[in-house]
Amino acid sequence: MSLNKDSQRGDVFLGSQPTPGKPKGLLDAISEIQQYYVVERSGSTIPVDFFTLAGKLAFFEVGFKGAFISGLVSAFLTPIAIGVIERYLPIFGSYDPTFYDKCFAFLIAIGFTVGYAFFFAVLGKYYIGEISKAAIKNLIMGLVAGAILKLVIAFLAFHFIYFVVLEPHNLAVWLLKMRWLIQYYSLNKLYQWLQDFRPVFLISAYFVAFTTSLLVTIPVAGIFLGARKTTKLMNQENEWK
Amino acid sequence: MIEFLSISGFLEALNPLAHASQAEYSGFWAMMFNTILSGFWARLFAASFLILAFWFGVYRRLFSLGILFFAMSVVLTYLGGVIGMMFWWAS
Repeated sequence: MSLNKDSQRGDVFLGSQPTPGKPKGLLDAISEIQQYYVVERSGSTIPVDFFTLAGKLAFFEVGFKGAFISGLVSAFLTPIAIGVIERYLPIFGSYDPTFYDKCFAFLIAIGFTVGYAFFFAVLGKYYIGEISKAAIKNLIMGLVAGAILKLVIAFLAFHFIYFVVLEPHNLAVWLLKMRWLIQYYSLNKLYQWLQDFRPVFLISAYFVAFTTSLLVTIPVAGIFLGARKTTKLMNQENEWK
Repeated sequence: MIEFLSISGFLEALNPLAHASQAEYSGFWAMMFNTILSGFWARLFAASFLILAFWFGVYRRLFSLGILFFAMSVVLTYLGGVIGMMFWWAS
């Protein structure tokens, strides 16, 4: 019987069972998923319990925060973009937007959300093993929950602005309180402009619903297609072996 | 030099009107508005920054750089309008 040096010395290594990390941001989460993918792709199996409840919650939180924040950016830019298209706001210093300007305003409004959604969509490549799948599912569930919460908040906020804040009587009362600061003529112009701009908020509420659907659809479709591609590739590799 | 190091000297150095007249200063912003923040160059720069935002943010996965370029694109797109409004207000 042969003993290695460590056994001969009787060293005892104390260590804790490795647990999946708690990603703090999206990059951390993707890096973790990549690590699970590498281990599971090599044929090693990781016990399902390796992915603890805290780990699941951490992935959910990352997806939730990401969707919520990207959604708020998009929700903020949406009334501006629609205001440009409806010629209430200037773009590139002009109140007379060209077709290119209108498309660009639209692209800016959805750009952040679409970019973020594509960022998630790349995860499809890693959707193979038990742990990778569990991590991605939790991330996407967080994304969907964050997107829905953002949609509800933005939808209510835009309707609140339309029905309460910019309601002609309420608006007149609030603007008149600023008479000590702004001349009556300017207040009157501002009132007219806000009344014209008012419907933009209703359009924005439904536009945000549309961008939210993109935020959910793009990653889910990307993951479905990516997973299919990886599975095909793995089947081919197994056949060649 | 010592004057610059004092707080009031530092604040004075930050005041653009200490380096140029008011006409020159407003002329600078008018020039910025007419060249970079409106028209062809604004469209070109804003589109380039948006493409860079997607390139770095999504393709290269440098998320912070992507956000930075996106923010620059938004600023270039709408800042011209804001400055135009300021000119209109001041006139």
